[in-house]
Amino acid sequence: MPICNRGHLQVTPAGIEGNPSQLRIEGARIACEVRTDPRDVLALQASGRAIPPGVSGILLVDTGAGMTAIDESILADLGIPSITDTRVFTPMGSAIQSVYSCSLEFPGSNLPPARSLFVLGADLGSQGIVGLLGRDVLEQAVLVYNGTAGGWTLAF
Amino acid sequence: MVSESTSLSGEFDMTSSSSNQQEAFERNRRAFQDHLERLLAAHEGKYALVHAEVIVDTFDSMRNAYEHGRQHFGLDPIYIGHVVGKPDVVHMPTLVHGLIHAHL
Repeated sequence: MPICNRGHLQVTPAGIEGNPSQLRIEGARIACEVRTDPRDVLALQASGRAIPPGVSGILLVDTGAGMTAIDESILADLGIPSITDTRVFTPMGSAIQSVYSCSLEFPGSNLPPARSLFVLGADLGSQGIVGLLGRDVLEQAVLVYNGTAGGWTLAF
Repeated sequence: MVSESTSLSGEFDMTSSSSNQQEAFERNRRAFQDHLERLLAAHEGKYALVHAEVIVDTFDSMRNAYEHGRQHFGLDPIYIGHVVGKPDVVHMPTLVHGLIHAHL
């Protein structure tokens, strides 16, 4: 079972310890690369067009998100077209937002890529992250958030 | 930690233009809405694939509809509609400024 352990450490008089404060500030974050859906890659190749390079960034693990979301500007840069839409509820109200298909890879970890994943397009650029890893992916995993130790574990 | 992206030379363009793509998406979406009542009568719970404003077929899953769309229509704009009386909703409490970075 692929397991990803991440944590924040700090040097204290007692030695090196976990840093719960930093985990509280940053949340559970993991490096990822957003890529074109393999089926779109095949269609691009069939039409003789180049495959866009992936876009790297940070995903925030979000158990509050019903669906994984990716910054819409990144999806636009990759030329990924929307395929449907859905109504999204937030504490500020609801809105219709587009849904796309893409792949997520997790460089620097042994987590398996999420290929052909349907994601919500969202305006996340100002948040310093490329997206939110939601419960549609987490439903296939075990997530342990160890606040007292300043770390978290994700296992598929 | 952020990895290096693969750099490729050459142009990539999945659509002729994003505005044309969006217009086609909207037309397909309207076509789905126009046919929803009829679809509900015979295909409730399925996913309808729309291409060029025509309901192509219905599928058991969105994934199957998407695969069929790409296999048969390449990168042409498509729309996939869930044939349900009450539209699907997604809850995203974090998608509000301040919630992601809220701390004292």
